[in-house]
Amino acid sequence: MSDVSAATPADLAAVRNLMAASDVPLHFIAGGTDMLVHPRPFPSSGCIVNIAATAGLRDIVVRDDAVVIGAAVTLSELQHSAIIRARVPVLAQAADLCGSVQIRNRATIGGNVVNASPAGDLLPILVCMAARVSLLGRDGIGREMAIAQFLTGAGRTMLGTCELLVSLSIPLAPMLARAAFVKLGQRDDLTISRLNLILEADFDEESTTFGAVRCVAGAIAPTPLPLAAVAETLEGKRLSPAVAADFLRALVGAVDAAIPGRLSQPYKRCAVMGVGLDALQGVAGGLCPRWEDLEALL
Amino acid sequence: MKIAAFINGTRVEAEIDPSQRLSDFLRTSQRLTGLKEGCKEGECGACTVLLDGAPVNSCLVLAFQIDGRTVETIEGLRGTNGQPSPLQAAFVAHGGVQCGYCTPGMVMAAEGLLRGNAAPDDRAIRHELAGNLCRCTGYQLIIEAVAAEAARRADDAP
Repeated sequence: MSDVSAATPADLAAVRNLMAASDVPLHFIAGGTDMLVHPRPFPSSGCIVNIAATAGLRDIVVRDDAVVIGAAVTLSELQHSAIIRARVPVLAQAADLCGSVQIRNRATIGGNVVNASPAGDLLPILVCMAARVSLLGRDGIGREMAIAQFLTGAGRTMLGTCELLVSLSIPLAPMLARAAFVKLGQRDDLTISRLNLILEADFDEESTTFGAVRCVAGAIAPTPLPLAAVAETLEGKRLSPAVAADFLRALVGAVDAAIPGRLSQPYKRCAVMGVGLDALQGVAGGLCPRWEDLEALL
Repeated sequence: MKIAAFINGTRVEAEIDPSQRLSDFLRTSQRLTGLKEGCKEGECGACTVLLDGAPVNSCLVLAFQIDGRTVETIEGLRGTNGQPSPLQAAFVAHGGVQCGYCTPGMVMAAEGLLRGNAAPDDRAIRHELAGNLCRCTGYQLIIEAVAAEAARRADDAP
């Protein structure tokens, strides 16, 4: 028998009580798809707190002009949620690209965030959409911050000892009309991102002109990398082969700047053009130039 | 700690270590050895069981997390009179079984798929079974078995 104990709080009030009453380290677990991956060390002392079914961590609601997602919402639930599909469809699409169905049925959005993997698929989307995290400290005091501030490095966050990520909120107000997420892995399913990209934009089909644009890349830096200079190549521009080529060249420049000299740089500076073109197609649909139209310009 | 859960339709009470994985608990304490602990990192799917009807990697679930919940393993999937279930029979009929190591997990993942999607196309079957690795069959015969069972269920539906 190990020296750890376990608890399954029914709701957030029970979590608060546990935090107040317990004097041992608390290790929160929901899906376990990161925490239990062999051979990661399992806690040797303290209390394993199962929050997989804790009420108050499992809801997806629209509140105060934001979509609020409980930390223990699974990726399958994100994928199928009517609210997510209607309000943040790109998040549902990205959830479907994570792991396998077995993983998606257990892995949670909160786990994806606190694990803070550089290749985490949901993180670039959450950063791009200016999501905020809501935390609950052991002293019972809550705090909030932007996810871009919360993620501090590869596997590192601002989460304090025994602090719990309660929810994420994605503000609806600055959300742009279209968004596309593209993931490149070594195969189609059950794969870790070698590169991923979200392109969010206002795009008028009639004039084929971009309004505001945001772009964030994953798996090329310890944390999701906002690409303002890349977005600027599209902002206010009418989509043409030359503009699309500018966009792809800027992406290559961003990769070169992010991982100079790394072994994966030659691969990723090529791959990012395909990823970028897929993202552009995701936003502009059939109006996007084809690769054959761009090759001579690159 | 003590838990109570429904495993293959039977209420089970057990004293478990909080650090014990569900896959280990099912195989050692419950003697349900159909599932296999292939990788212990959620990559191979050989330990797939249904938790409240949804496929999960039992190696990535702590046993105490099933308290009050329902677990189905390959042993719970029998047809009438102890015969293999129609899905298992489809795997046999279509040659979707060779060495058999992946089969219990593959069957449970397929069962989870068919309960949630009555008419999966080839792409959906491949996507939903992507978490189950098979080194023998090349997958095609497994895909055909699942498609055949989906068609059979559709024919049997009222």
